[in-house]
Amino acid sequence: MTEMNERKPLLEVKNLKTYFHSNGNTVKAVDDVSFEVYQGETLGIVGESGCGKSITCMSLARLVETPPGKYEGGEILLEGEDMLKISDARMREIRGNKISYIFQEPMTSLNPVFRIGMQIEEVLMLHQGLSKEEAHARAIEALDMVRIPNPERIVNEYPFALSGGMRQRVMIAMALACSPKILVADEPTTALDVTIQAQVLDLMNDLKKKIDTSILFITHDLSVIAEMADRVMVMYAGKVVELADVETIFGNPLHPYTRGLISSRPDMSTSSTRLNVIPGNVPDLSDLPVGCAFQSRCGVVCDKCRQGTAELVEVEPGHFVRCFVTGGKKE
Amino acid sequence: MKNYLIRRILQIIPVFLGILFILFFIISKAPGSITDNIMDPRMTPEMRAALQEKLDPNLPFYVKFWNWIVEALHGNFGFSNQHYKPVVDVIGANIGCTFALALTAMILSMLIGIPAGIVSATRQYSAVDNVLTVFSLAGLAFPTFFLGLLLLKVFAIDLRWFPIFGLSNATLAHAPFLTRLGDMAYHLILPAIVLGLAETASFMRYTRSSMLEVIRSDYIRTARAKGLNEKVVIYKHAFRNAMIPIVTLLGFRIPGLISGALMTETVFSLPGVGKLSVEAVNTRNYPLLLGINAMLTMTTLIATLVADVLYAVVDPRIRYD
Amino acid sequence: MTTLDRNEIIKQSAKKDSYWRGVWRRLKRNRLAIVSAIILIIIALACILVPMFSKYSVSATDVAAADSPPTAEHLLGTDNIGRDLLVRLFYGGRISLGVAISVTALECVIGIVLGAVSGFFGGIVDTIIMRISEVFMCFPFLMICITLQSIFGTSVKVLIFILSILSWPSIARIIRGQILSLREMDYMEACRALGISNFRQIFKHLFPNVLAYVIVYVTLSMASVILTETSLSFLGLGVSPPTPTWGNLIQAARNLLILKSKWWYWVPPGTMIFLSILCFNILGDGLRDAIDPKMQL
Repeated sequence: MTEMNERKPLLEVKNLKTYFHSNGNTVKAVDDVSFEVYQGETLGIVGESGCGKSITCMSLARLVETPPGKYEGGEILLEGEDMLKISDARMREIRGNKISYIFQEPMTSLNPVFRIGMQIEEVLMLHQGLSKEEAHARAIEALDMVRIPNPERIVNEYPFALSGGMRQRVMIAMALACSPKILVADEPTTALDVTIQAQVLDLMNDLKKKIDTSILFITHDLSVIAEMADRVMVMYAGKVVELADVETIFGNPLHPYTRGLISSRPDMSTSSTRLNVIPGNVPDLSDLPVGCAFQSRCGVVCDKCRQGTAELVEVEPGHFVRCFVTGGKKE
Repeated sequence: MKNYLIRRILQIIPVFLGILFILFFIISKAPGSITDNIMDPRMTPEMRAALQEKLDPNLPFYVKFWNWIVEALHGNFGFSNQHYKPVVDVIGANIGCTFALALTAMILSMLIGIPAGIVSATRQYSAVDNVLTVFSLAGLAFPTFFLGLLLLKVFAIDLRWFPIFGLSNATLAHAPFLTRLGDMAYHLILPAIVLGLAETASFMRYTRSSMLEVIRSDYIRTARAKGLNEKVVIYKHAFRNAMIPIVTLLGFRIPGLISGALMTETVFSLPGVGKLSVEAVNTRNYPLLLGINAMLTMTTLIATLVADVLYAVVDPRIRYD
Repeated sequence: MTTLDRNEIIKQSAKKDSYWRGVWRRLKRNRLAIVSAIILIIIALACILVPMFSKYSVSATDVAAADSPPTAEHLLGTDNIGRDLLVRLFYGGRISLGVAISVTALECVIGIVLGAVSGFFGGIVDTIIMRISEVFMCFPFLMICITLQSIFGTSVKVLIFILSILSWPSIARIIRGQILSLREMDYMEACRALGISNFRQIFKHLFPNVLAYVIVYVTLSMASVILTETSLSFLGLGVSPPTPTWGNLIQAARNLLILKSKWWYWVPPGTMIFLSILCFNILGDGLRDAIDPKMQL
């Protein structure tokens, strides 16, 4: 880990703020989020739905619709280039080429009226200047790489002919076609059956090593995180609440929310039949309370939490926590 | 694809027969008899009854229907007493005008309405979108006949830019073919604009809502995430999908288009099926009415079939079913 | 069971209340729709009140003032036998709007009953009703109206009957679709498993859903019936004079002289038709957006 931290990060996100404005309401979907991604690592982002994890990742390649979204501030540095400052044309050169995406819904993420092959060829022709024939050959290779049987046949099929798992493989093939620096996987296995899930995760791990890409892996499923991630970032109500390597997160979680998440997963080692749940719901992002957003659901809440928001503090090397109660440095 | 088409054709046949049956039933209930229009004072009631028996024998309804269907399949839709011609010939003489009008209006409205709808959708809530939306709301609310009268008054009567009525100028009856064609086109401009306006409005409206829905879909996000430029995203990825419901609309609009054509013809006194049917009603020419209805029903059904084929062309899911 | 039922009902009614309140709140924000509703109310009031309080009656002729352009006496002028066109305009509105309301009501009754029967019983009943509705939807609508009118005459009653008979399929299909999709839902399965009467459950859940669709449908249907009635009346079918409607008032403009120089005969009724169709369409769109923008209507 220390060796990794000495290297220059591939992607640096500094104080990113992505807000949504509608009817006079402001929703701070991503509120002052900072993190780094290093070459070849997988950073997992965890949180309940609506915590801003998807918007954070969509912001990286400026894929958030503006309006209603707006990038209110911060920097997104990919190899030193600020994604929020470059022109639209430059941004398009980066999308699908340096930053690629896999989305949650394989059933609807492929265009239903175009052949699989054409949809992969399109990226190759656009970013690598290949001819139609070269791109076609490469598309078949790409399908083969994601272990799709009979790629020569599948390349001419339409998406509706494939199952969800197969479509997600196609999405992966498409995303990795140009060997991107960063692959953003937004809940790529949530919509799949459990057995297919495992296959797809295995595939992603293999391919990551093969083409040495970094992965930003978004999920709400902690067991998936345990399997995929090197480091984990926990988000709550648009803010980072804890960031550490995967062993620390599972071994020594500090933020009450992280603790809640970990204790709420089914544990096979004990015979307990009841699951622990975090009481309450995710707060309305357009109407956040003063102070800590987690206060109403927190077991260790104190007066300070109702007055102000804690800073993200590095409690031990590489382990950041945002909490007055559990995250204070020992004074 | 082949199976799909065969299935659709097989579905259409009972619908067509059902419509004809209902029509035939209604018309058979019409008051008056076929001999009413024969005003011969020498005719005795007995002679009249004999003639009735000869022209329209007293057979059970279903036998008459069957006979009519068999005759119709041979191209005989009966005889129009007013015109001293078979119904088919009377309709044939008038249908060209209606088709020319409907087709021009349809093409015009697609050429304008679809691109306008796309622009409107891609710039939702912009000034352009607002103007186009107001235009389409107004276009849909304008009754064809009122718009026709307004344009007729302003452009034909007051400004004298266009002819007031008819399909051709009588003085050009012996002019070369191209001159006559040009003259006909000149006569059709105003009616086509009138009919096309409402159609344009509905194409625009449907294109807009269809595009708006498609633009929000996951595969458009994928297309953007690939780095495609916005033009390719909209005109290739989004439009191909937005076309699918628009093509179905094409089929659905045909009855409305025909109704609109009937109204427009009446306003501009064009010698088309619309005018013919109003005449047929006024003279209680039931064979002619039945023939016109059968013909329009068939047109409608064929149009929906064409729309189905187009649907299969734009949507691979149907094609491979 | 009883306590559970009561809680359920309380929850439901609370939900219903806030549901319609939400719809109203969203509708209020749509200024265009509200303005349309106000215009429609004004038109309707004028149609009721103007013929009632005017000193002229619909059919009273004033030969001395015949064929006069708008004056202080006759605000919209008179026709060729001296009838006051303002009174005739709003009296015609009574007929046009009355026909629209009656047809819409009647087609909704027919459509809802047939759609519900189709959805509940399914099977052969469903197939038959749906095939019939397809036949009706493929009719060349205007032509059929013309044909029917030529046979059954051109009274207001006949017109209402014909138009409702021809227009029920769309609402029937909507109702059927709603029932079918509701039957597919999980809690329906649960009810069936628990042996709770299907009918009662479906009605309880169906009602608010269907009501939303019917409200939007009624609004849009008003517009299309006004268009059809006026079109037919313009052709000299539909409602025939001396009873005025917006459609047969415009018919005067088929006379070239009137079209050319006597705008007060035909522009006011045309404008009323245009305005009322426009407003019903905008209001219908507004209602749909306020209730559920994804509604397929």
